[in-house]
Amino acid sequence: MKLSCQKSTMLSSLQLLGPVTAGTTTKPILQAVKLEAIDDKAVLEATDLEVGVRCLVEPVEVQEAGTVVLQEGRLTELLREWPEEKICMETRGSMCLLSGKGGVFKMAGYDPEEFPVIPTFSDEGSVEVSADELEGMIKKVVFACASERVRHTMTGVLFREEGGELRMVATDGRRLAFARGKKSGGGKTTMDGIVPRRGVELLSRIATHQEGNVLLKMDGTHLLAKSGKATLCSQLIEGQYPNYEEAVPKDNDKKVEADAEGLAAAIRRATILTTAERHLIKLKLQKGMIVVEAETPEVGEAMVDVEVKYSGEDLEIGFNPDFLLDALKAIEKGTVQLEFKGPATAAIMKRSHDFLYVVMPIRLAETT
Amino acid sequence: MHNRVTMHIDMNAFFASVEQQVNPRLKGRPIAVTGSQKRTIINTASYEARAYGVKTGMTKVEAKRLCPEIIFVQANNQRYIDTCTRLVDLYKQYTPFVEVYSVDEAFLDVTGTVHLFKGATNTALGIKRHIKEAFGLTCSIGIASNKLLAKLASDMQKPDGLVVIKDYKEARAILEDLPVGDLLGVGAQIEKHLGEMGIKTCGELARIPIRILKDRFGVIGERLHFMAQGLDDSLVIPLGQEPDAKSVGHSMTLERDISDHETLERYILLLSEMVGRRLRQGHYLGRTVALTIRYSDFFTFSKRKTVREYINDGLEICNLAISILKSFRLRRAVRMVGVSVSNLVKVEQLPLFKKDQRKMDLMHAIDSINDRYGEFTVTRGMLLEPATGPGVISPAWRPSGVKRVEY
Repeated sequence: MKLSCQKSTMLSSLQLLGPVTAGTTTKPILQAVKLEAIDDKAVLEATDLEVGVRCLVEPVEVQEAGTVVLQEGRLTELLREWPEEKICMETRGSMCLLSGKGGVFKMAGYDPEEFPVIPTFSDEGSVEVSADELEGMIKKVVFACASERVRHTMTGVLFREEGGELRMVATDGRRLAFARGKKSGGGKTTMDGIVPRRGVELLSRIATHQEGNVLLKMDGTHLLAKSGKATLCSQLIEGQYPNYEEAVPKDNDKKVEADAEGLAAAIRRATILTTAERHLIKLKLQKGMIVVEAETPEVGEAMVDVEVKYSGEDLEIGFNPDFLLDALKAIEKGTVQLEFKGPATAAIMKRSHDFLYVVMPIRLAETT
Repeated sequence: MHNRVTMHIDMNAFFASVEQQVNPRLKGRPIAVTGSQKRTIINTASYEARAYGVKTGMTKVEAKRLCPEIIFVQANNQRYIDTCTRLVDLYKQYTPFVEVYSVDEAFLDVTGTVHLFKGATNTALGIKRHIKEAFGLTCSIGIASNKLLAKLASDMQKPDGLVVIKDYKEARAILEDLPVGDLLGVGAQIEKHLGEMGIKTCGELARIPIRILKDRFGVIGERLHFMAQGLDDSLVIPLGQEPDAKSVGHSMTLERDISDHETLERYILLLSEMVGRRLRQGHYLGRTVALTIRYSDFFTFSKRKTVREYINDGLEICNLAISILKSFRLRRAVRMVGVSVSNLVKVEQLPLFKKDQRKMDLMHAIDSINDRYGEFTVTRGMLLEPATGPGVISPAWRPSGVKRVEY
């Protein structure tokens, strides 16, 4: 193999692959990237066996086709330190040679035959979503994933195509985030699977860094995505996703409208007077007002009034403040609609049509 | 001298004396309580046996050699726990400030009530008489101005003793030649470190400048300095009024040394259920589980694991403890095992899904049945296996409430 290109071209592709190799420690070859030069283009690949990313390196001049597998960390670091704008790489047996004003570097490579195969992407049967839409949806749900292996299916995000729209759901068994998004194109496809959190985060990264819309599809065991020069392949989590529709309360009659930013600021302030051991705030619903309260022995008490639209009965309900702030952060600006029923039943937070959040309260000592 | 009147009550040869009370044929005879028939280490010897030189920690064979007519009795934890609970009720007739220090020891702060019983000595005599009448048991009582000295005083006369340390002058005379290891709260590690510094007695310790002790031991150094002079400002803390717990744990010496994982896992489940239960009683959840193992050669160690989600279900605690057990290879048979949960929070987050809600409801239902009809009235099938007979309860056992356990 022999090729030459701009340093920045190679680096920008490598940066996309970095998060894939960073998480693996078991097999050394998984910390490596595969660089393949064919005809007039070059392709970089990395995989941790759960998620694989492939990225086109272009423009590039290929003098000799071939493949080399190199440790990602060292290659990236060397290129960052390289004094010239242009680089030239060529293989000498199993070594890869990089030479110029920066010196002469011979790097040991791995056997390309041993590098795991990453499934390729074909446009057929995929749906098209705009990058903004996809990123927005991911941001609204991904924080709610469970982090424990115990609830294995909950460690991922459910992707589902239903009624001509794309849906994403994430839950950790105590709160649940649901996002809806529009397709921008694409034909008929079935999409219904749980994508691991890493796959979702990489998908978001690719959507951000590449231009144009994202194509998505599922093949039963994988989620495949393509955006600009990059393609992503993520395994799906096997198993039954919990029945999330059942967890969304239908009869919450205490409806509140509040300014998302104002409410978040009030909760953040009250949270200062909580501790890790007693991470709890109280919301007191009154006519036209929510009082956010924190009361922690040996730390102090906080009481913040937030003006809201509410005309129902009084209610006192406890929450983990982080759970509320996560959702308000996803909503960002504008009006948030809150729906409650009682002190020990799920509450809803939502914004128009595209975001719904269900959160369970903390039982207050007075009610136990 | 402070005006606090503190008492330390130490039941004499508690397990053995209780057994002698229950079985009159054992009265006046040399007996030794062991963990189980298969256990060879002596837990408590009666005073009749002690006269022959039989001591706690000896093997059955050694005891038999010293005292051929010795009778070995298997420990009955429930009996000791019941007696302890009833003793606490008795103490409460003298003062509300009763701290159960272990199954056979208690501290009483009688400062406010002592005048009702005609002085400290009369109060102590009253308690001793009361215990003798109600239980047929004897105890040693120490009276002093703080817990440290009260404990020292009760140790000075056994069995059936009553010692009053009147003032610090008297206290210092006693402390002068007292080995540092005899001080309440000085463990083997600290004793070893002090030994390396050439300090063997409390008198020597008292003469070491506080700065040196602070440099070496930090906060504890300061405390050691005061302890060596007989000063101790810790209060008698009644049950249920302990400061918020840092961890909740249980440990158990097994009926016999065990090396197979399956049996060990069953003990871990039993302990985990006990820990889960106590967490729930104190409205706690935790996310760090520690497993403590003591090998047959008494080598003891702990390993811990922290998870993201807070738990208080015995089974989940057990699963984590077992995953810790599986993370290393047992080098010897296990003599004692302990499970504890730390990193505690005091809020009850409700679950979202019906399945989890039902699990939570079930746990609460089982708890209320066990509250009413006794521990383990309803429990897991696995724990009904006869193989999980009770080991000997830890000396740090308490009737109820969340206890600070540090390994």
